[in-house]
Amino acid sequence: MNEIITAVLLVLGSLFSFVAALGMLRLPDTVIRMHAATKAGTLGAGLILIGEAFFYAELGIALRALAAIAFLLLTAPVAAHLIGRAAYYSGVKLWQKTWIDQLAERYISGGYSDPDHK
Amino acid sequence: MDRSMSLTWLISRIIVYTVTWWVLTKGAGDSWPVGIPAVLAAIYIDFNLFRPENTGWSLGGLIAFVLFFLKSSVYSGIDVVRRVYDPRLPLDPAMVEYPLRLTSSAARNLFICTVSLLPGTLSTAIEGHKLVIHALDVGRPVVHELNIIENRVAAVFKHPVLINNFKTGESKK
Repeated sequence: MNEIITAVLLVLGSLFSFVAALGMLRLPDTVIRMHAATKAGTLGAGLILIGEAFFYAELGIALRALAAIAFLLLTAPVAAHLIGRAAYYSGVKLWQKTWIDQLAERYISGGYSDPDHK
Repeated sequence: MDRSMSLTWLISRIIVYTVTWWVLTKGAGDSWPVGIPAVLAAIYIDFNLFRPENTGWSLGGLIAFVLFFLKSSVYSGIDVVRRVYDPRLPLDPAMVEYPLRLTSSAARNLFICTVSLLPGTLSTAIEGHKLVIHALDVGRPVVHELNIIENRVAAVFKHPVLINNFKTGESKK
């Protein structure tokens, strides 16, 4: 039974990790790629770690897996934020279909006003 | 901050970092010559990065937050899978400025990190009291979802009830 759970978790984890990598190739700009890397990447690695903990069914290993997951959850968004921030401030070109939001108009009228939007 | 507060802060940090080291090294006794300086360094960095604040926190709020986070985190991964595999690449991204309602830095940090791991949103930059968020799909009620996350974070830190500063159920375009 444990082995089935382990297998399912490992396969699911690999699938999410694969999607994170595929997203890097398919998605159109830096910031959008960071979505795939943080969300799918963290979930993939997390599932693999949980699978490992299930396989060994040992308190020490489970605690280390949990610690590793905690560190992943703490570091992945920070890394994504810094890369996104660097891209944002250095003026890396966004995908041409990106809406550039105007705060005032959005919250008052709920409208977008980017004339360059295609 | 009074003396008993700072003592509580110090003791809680010592416990957290010592236990973390102990778990990571499988409790190996001969690792402590490295472990003790590492724990001290962690406490020093912690103190300098996040000045101890008078923020309380609630266990119920934390449990509710963790459950909400795990559920949304899985949904967030599936959402990415769906978008990446779809040959049409269903994206309608936007840069959105979101005025932060949380005031304490601990709560803000938690909110900003959570935003990046939940479906369709990534915190990109912080400009004063505004968070610049990149959203994958503006067809979703992004601002409403951010409101919900922020309220959950507020509940963890016993923040006073936040008042929505914009319309919910926003309309698209």
